[in-house]
Amino acid sequence: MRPTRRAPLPGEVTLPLKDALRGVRFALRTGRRQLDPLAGRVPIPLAGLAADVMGQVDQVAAGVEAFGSTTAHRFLDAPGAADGAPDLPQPDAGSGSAQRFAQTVYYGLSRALSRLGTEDALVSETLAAEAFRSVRDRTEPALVVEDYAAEIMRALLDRVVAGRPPGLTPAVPEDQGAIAVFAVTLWLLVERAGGAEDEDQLLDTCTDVARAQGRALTDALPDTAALSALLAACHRVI
Amino acid sequence: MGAHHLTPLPVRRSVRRLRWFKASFRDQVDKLSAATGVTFDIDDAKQGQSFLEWLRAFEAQKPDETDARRDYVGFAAGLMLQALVRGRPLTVRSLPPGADTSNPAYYWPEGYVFVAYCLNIRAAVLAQDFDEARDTAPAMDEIRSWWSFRENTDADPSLAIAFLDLFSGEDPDWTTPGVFAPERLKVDAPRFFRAAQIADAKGR
Repeated sequence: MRPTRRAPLPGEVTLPLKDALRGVRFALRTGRRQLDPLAGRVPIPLAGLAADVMGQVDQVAAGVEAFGSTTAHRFLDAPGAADGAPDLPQPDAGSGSAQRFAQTVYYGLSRALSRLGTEDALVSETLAAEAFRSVRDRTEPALVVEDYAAEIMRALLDRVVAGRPPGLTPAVPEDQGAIAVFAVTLWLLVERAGGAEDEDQLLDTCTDVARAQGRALTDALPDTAALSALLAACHRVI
Repeated sequence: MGAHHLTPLPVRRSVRRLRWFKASFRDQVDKLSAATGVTFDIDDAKQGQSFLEWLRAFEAQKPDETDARRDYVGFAAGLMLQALVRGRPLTVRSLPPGADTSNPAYYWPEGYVFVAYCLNIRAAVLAQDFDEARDTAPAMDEIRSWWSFRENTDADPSLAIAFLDLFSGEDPDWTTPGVFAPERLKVDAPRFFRAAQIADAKGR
């Protein structure tokens, strides 16, 4: 008997699921790092046991990792995207746009934070999708693109889309989170020069520009109009 | 340079975009590598910092007067050299065997790339906007100029602006190289000070 083909799960289900899996992966990775240095210092029988346990942890972590990296990269080839480049979905975009936006933000923030020196941040696709929906539901399609981008950026920051689980220190420094969100917003704004353009390089460029804003970014954060002006100024130089 | 295709804008506008700057700089590095056999590593983050430093300096002194624009092209290229020399986004990975270090391209390969890049940008803008064909000055090939260039810019990167003038056959300002003064003002300034001296003497 041929198996019945299952319909794909809706975003409302898959996004929290992915967040949960990433939480598990994060905990496993963190545990690995915390326990591993002890392995060389404990008595030999215990060290063997520790190595055995850690081997199992690695297997689980690798499985979840593979799941995460496949989904994270898939959006770049999504048929809905114009020439495969991620972009800022319009306020009147269709129902799948929040999910795609969330995947893009996940990929972008993870890379931007890593370039800024913050490894192991947990980026929530669920919160990113929620941020997008909150802006979409109250925004007019005719809004100036940088104003719209600034609204989305504020919504992402308000929801602390990139962070670390409670109790784990140090948390993602607030300024690093803001720089990363600014970088990803810029990345989504910038027009593409052509098919040969490397998305990762472009994101790195946006991150460098975002980092260089320093005080100007900190000062603009509370004010959406100022944020929009700063986004426009940076947009022009990328 | 091959990277011009990235945007349809004139070079004076394109160069103010980081993506174009990175691509055209890489293009310059590749061309000099092919010509000299020197291999380089580009530090992407430092390159971005150099660009942003240059852009800030460029915007800070950009003149409003149309007749100062031509002079500002040379000055802006000098500012770019200053930012590159200060930020050092390039390091030599290897020299070809038997490289003759009395040749500026082997004596200071990174500096040579920086100068070549800035001269090319300068020449491209002057050709596009002012229909001027530019050539380099003899100082560009003289190793003594390069000893001085390297030593002096190590101590004070703003001197890179004056050295770029020297390499392009312009009259360098060695005293305040980081302050833009159009040729017209350079001519007027002594007159102004002379007039002030006369007025002062009469007042006494």
